[in-house]
Amino acid sequence: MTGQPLLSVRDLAVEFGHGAATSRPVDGVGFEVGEREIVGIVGESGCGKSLTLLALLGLLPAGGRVVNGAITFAGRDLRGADQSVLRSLRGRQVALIPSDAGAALNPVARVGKQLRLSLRTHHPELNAQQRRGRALDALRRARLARPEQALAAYPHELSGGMQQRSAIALGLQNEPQLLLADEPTTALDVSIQAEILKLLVQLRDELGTAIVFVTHDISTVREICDRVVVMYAGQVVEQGDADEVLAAPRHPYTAALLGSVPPLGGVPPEQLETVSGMPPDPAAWPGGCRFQARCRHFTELGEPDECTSTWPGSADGLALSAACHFPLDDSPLEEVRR
Amino acid sequence: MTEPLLSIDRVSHEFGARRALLPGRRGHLAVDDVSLTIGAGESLALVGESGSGKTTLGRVVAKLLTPTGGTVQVDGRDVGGLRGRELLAYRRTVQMIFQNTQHAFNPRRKIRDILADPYEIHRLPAPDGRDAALGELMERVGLRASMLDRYPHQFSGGQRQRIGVARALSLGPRLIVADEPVSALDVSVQAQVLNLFSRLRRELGLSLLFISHDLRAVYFLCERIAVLYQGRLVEVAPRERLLEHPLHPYSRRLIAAVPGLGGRDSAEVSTADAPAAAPAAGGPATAAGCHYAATCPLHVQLGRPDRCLTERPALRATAGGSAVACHFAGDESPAPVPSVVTEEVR
Repeated sequence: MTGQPLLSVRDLAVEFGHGAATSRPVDGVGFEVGEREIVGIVGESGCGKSLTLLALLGLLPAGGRVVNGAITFAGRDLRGADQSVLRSLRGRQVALIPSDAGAALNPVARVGKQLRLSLRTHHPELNAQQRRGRALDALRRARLARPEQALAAYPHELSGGMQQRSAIALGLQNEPQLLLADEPTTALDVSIQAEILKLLVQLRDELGTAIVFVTHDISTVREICDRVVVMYAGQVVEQGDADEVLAAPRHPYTAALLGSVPPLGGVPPEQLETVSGMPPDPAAWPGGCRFQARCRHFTELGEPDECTSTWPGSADGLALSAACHFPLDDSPLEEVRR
Repeated sequence: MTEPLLSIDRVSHEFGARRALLPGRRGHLAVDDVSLTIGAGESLALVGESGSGKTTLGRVVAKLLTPTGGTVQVDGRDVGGLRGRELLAYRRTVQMIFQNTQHAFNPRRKIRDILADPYEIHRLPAPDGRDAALGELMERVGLRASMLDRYPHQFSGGQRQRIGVARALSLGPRLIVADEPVSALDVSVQAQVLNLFSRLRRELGLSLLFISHDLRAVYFLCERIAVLYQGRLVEVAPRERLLEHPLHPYSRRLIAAVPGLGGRDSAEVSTADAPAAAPAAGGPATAAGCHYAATCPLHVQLGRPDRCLTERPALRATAGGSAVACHFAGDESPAPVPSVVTEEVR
């Protein structure tokens, strides 16, 4: 990455609740997104990946608040920004594509009306005809087969894939610089999923939109992402070039995630690799490395003290490699195995 | 060849079939003349996109739906006319697992009561006391007997799916119909549940009809894969064969769509070039001809032959062990993916 990144997140922390009931589902997350870059955020349910996205937009659910960290977008500080600034940014410069488009679209308004409403908000200078034209263009860009019909349709009249495309059209019609896509394909069939992924890459290529792509499925990351951020228990455990990380993961958690993807081809193994146990509770994060209780290598290495006493990551959360005391390619693990 | 455990013979299911007798109304033909068999201990996958009829076919096998055409046989006996005692016996042989674990259980009942239901219904006093049987069931699926007094919401999605498996296992079935049992789960939890299925198959010699749109899960669990498109069976083949030499153009498209298979570059062989398939509501437009012709790249490549539009392709066996329902697909056509696709993602 050269120059200033488009989006920079440093040491972001989000809290819910008060007093003894405080939980911190996002705890020290840091990453950067460059212009025209597609960055994947991967992790299990509850790892804080979706909350991280919402925090960027100032859209945390009730009771949630950003308690630490810095968010800079195109040189502007977003964390300290008030709602009016965020409102002018959301939908225009930064857009969100939700995971369940069926639920995100208004069921009692035609798709066209929803598209036009967002245009009226952000581009009051356009007249009705121009708004219609722009909306149609957006649907076309989202590769909807019959955009005119989609404009006049209610969301329930569209298939899941078409709903998702409409939501993407809604996100990109104002030509945002940054698209935040929260599991945009999980509710969809594999073949439609592939089309949506391809569409995201095309949009980046045509419009130069940077994309943050949140998913629990690490195999989709390889398909579209330039860089990958792996989250576990509210923290970033590994990040780097997507191809490199997927080819040679350094954090045991990343390796375990990859191992749990069933291989295609050859004779399938009797058992897939799994991570045993459950992620820790955000209301009571354990000290040291949060993955340690589920980490196979922790046991294999003879339960070293540093794993339970010190967090292996960097202070600003911007771990540029793996947040592990014994990252995979230079750990003594291989010797242990022999 | 030994007698298959399950044989599905020319099964069709039309929703709203009765209504369709009225002039100007049509039912929805969800499953259209499908024949398949599953041997004892064998595991067969049904794959296809939403609306392909895979769930309907699963429900027909589990006898939750009565097919409007064709027969389902278990051990050579037609299950269509089963009533009373015989039907109960059938239910002990074939059990179903559902996709949505939040809706599959009564939220107001404890797991103990949920799992005891099958014993009650079938008046089976478990031989050494019900408690012991329930505890054993829980352990069999990787849960603890002490969890029996919890309610469904106190479990995670993966744990609830294990309870679904436990309920299905309670009567000692020989065939389990699993309808998208892992699609709602996180990838890491998915692996745990897939491992459970794999272990149970080995330990209990279960047959499995595994319904999924996830080719990776399917490849892991099932020796044979059947591809459905708009209610019709378009190809059935051993898993390696289907992956390396898919014959039907639709199977090829399905395989090219698997994420992470060939890396980013392979997105080019992906799907979006074909017009987004928009299956007509209320069922396919014509009974004649091939359903896939409208979106089929091979059809275009061959100069849109009439035969595709007028004659329904029958399922025919090929030399490689596949059966394909396409007039023109043959072994000689090149595979869309490199033949060495072993564990590209790792």
